[in-house]
Amino acid sequence: MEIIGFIWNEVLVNPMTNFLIILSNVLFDNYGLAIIAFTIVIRLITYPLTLRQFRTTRAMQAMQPRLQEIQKKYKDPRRRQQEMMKMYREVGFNPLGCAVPLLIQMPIWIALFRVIRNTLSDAPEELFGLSSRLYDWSFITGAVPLNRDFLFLDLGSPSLPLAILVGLTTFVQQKLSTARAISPSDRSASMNRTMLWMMPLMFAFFTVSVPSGLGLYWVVTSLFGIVAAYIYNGPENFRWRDLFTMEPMLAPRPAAAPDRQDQPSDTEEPAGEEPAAQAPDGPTRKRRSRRRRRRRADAAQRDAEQSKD
Amino acid sequence: MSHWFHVKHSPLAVLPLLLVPLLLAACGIGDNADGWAAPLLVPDVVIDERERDLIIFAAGRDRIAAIDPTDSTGELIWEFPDPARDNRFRGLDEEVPTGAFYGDPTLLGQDEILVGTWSDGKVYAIRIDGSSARLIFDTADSVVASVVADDRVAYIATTDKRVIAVDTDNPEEDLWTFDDLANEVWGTPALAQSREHGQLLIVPALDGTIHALRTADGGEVWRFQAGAGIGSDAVVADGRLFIGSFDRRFYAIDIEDGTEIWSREGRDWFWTSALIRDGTVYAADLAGSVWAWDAATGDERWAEPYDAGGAIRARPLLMADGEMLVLVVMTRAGKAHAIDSGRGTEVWVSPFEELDSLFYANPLALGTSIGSPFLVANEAGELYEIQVNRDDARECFPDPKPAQPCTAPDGGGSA
Repeated sequence: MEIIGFIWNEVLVNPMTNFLIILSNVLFDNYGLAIIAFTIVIRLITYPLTLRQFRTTRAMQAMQPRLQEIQKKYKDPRRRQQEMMKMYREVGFNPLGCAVPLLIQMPIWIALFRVIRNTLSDAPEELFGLSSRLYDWSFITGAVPLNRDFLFLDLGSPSLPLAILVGLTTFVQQKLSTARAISPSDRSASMNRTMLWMMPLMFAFFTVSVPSGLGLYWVVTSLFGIVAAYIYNGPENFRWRDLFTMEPMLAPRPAAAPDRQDQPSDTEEPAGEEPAAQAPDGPTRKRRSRRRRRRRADAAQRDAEQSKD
Repeated sequence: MSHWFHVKHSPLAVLPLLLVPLLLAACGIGDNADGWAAPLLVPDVVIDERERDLIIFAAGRDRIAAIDPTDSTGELIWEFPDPARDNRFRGLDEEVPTGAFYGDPTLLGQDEILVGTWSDGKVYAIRIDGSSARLIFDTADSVVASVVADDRVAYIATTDKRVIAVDTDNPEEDLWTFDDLANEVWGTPALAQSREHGQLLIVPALDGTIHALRTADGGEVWRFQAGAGIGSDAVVADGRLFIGSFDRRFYAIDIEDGTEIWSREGRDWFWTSALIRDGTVYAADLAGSVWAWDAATGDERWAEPYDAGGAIRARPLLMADGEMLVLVVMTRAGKAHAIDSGRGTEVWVSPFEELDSLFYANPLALGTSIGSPFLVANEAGELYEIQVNRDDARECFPDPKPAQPCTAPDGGGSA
């Protein structure tokens, strides 16, 4: 346990503490700006994982029709499971691809919670431990205490408006990064809908209980996720009116197999219905094949939506 | 588990993230304020027609209480607020919220003490015999620093960057308010007599700015900027202010104009109040180093600082051992050290290990000689009696041992 504590402090909490104090010093003695800059740095460092998450989501979108086919075709749960796993292997889909960026953020969030408690310390005793965490550099040691005011926030105390903002941004991010199930009545669709409101609600609820510096981190990280998802998915997949529904924004891609380039692993190509996806050789053919598949997917998506309307 | 993946991976993916708030809750969301009010000895208080020596202290982290230390039952003579009266108190109409007390109780005249609350920022005057209390001022924020009393005037420094002077006999209107503080105030201000400006109130703000205010009208005479924040109390002696900072420096500042006379570097933040005796300044830092400097020049008195081996916030004590003066320091971890004040060498270190809690509060000496014990209060609001050269720490509150009662403040009792 001691070694875990050592790693936790020396690898995560202490460097984060000092880095945030340096940022605060550089950014006009503004700890709020430091938290924003820190969040952006963290999101940039973990951007490959975010991309991986988007790709996994897109792959999930593309697999929806086949998943539903399998569900219809195989009534025996065991066989159904085997077929699904087989399909995952075929397309090189890793269901955990979506979880990794979130898992990576978990220790950062907890460590940031500690850092904010240590640096902004609502109770005087909490500032006590800070001295032992600071590197011996006057630029850092001279920065204490930190300025805890940022806009309308006291970064060391909870804030209700910020909690609402956390809820809203988390909701939008969730909408943009979750694939809609092809059949609105199936279990996955209902689960997605539940997660869509439950997660923002939970985060909003807990933001009311933690220092608002942590809420600020969460708002910025969600905004970053929203912008990244918007750019990745393209404006054609974003419609303002979809923000006001309780459905994920990303529509399924009925006719498309997962984009090979979008897949994080190197397993074999999906077999069967996607000839273009079968081992194209050479970058030009790959690009053409991808374009074809995208066109087909978009057309199929439009068809599906028109038939739904 | 894999069935989840068939249906949809995203709900499973976010589940660990949903656990984060729960983990944070386990890590201790909420108010961690324990307070560090020091105990206060008030001798010869008449209660029920009987004279008693009272120790007034922050009991159990959330109330001010009075005990007779020699009473082996540990029974509280009174507590503020009074749980038996639904946290109300005689003389007050409204309920008093329970919460931490950081400022030491301050004597106001002969009959009352002043305490400021952390939770709602109110300052109360409580009669020493516990017969009643009255509200002196509502800062509507928090009070960390001890209230300074001079005759009947109370000076209240708050965490919302104000200093308020209140006539305690007529508390409805404040005498003056200074609201141009650079930051909140955690260290207790000090009164000082300036030749040029009359009486001054020296206020250390948390961002390291020290303000000198005229007590007559609250006008600012000078301000001094330390290299980092200041959490320790201001101490004035011989026309100089002595105070340590989070920039690891200890400062001697001229009271007249706020210029630096000397400053010395420690090994970590200074958070203790300095102790000045016979031209020597004693202070300790959070690295556990205890320093002795010449008050006039800043020259080191000892060959090297004494290493107590742990962070120190509590103010040192000086006790006489024959011809020698012994400096007593208490580490945050609960180790007491007695040091030869002339040479900075170890005289005694407490051998007991049972004080398994944190000690921030200043100790209270029950006498001036090394044969007298001193009281220390921990973060849980428990009170212990320690004596140099004695091998045990006696619990005075909440569970005193009848076989080892705490000592009467006059030095009698069982010691």
